[in-house]
Amino acid sequence: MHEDPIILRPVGVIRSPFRAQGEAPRQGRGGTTTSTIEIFPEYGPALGTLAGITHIWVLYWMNRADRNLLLARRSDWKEARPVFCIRSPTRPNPIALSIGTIISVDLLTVTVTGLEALDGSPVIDIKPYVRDLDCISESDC
Amino acid sequence: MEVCYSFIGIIHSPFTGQPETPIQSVYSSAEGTIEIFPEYTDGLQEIEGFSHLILLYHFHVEGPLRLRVAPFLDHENERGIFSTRHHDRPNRIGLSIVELLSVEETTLSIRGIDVLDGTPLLDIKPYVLRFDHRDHVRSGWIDRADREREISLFTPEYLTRKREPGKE
Repeated sequence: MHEDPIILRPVGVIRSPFRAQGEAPRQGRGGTTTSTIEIFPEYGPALGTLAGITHIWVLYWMNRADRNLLLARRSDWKEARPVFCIRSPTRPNPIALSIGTIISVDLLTVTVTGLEALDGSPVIDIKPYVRDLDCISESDC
Repeated sequence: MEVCYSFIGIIHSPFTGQPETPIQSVYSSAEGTIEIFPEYTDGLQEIEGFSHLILLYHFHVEGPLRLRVAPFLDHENERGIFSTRHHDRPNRIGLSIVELLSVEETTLSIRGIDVLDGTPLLDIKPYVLRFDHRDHVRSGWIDRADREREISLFTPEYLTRKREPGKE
């Protein structure tokens, strides 16, 4: 019924001071801690300079996540919640979606703040964060 | 390290060809549905409480892997694909923010479709304003691109006609 699993090829790796779950701020917001995204040389042309771009979506793989649960509970929650309604790493395809604020771009290295990624997280993709596309002013939350 | 994922559902869209498909969901008023596979439906409970969802999906139509592209909104200039939202990117993973209209068992009705019919779904995340909104955002070449917000279906076909008026 479903197609075979797709194999991803990381395009880079995140270097951060966070070594274990719980050390990083949730959703990275407000954080001033810097992380670096090291793009592998073969993907260098894809990176370019990111000229004039201040924010990026960083998609990375949360390799320590449990992929077999559809309900997950944070330590401060009374009960577990369905995974598609939360931003927990626990989900069938643990792809993290994080917004990085660019500090600098130097050849293959992008230095950002705002990531909650653990050190060594494989990078799947980088996309420009665009106000007109990605800020939904009328959302309920 | 091998990283692999499986599809959790399918996006059903009115679009079957790329020239007619809106280039981003904010330029689309089109509606469609998401069908979640039965083994994942427990993860969907209470999703109707969210007005908008972030969809991560696989650009499933075969195309070349490109590291540099001339994007739809600036076709005269080639740039690194990570500074665009183009589909021919490594790992062919797409991101769209759509409006959730209704939920009926395993089917989500959405507005703001910008993908082809049959697009495999990888993940759904709730859009949360305080997580996902940023101030003082600048987006380089995208800010300089001519974007007419009143166009409700901003497609590659429309952009081509705009660049070459009078040509079919």
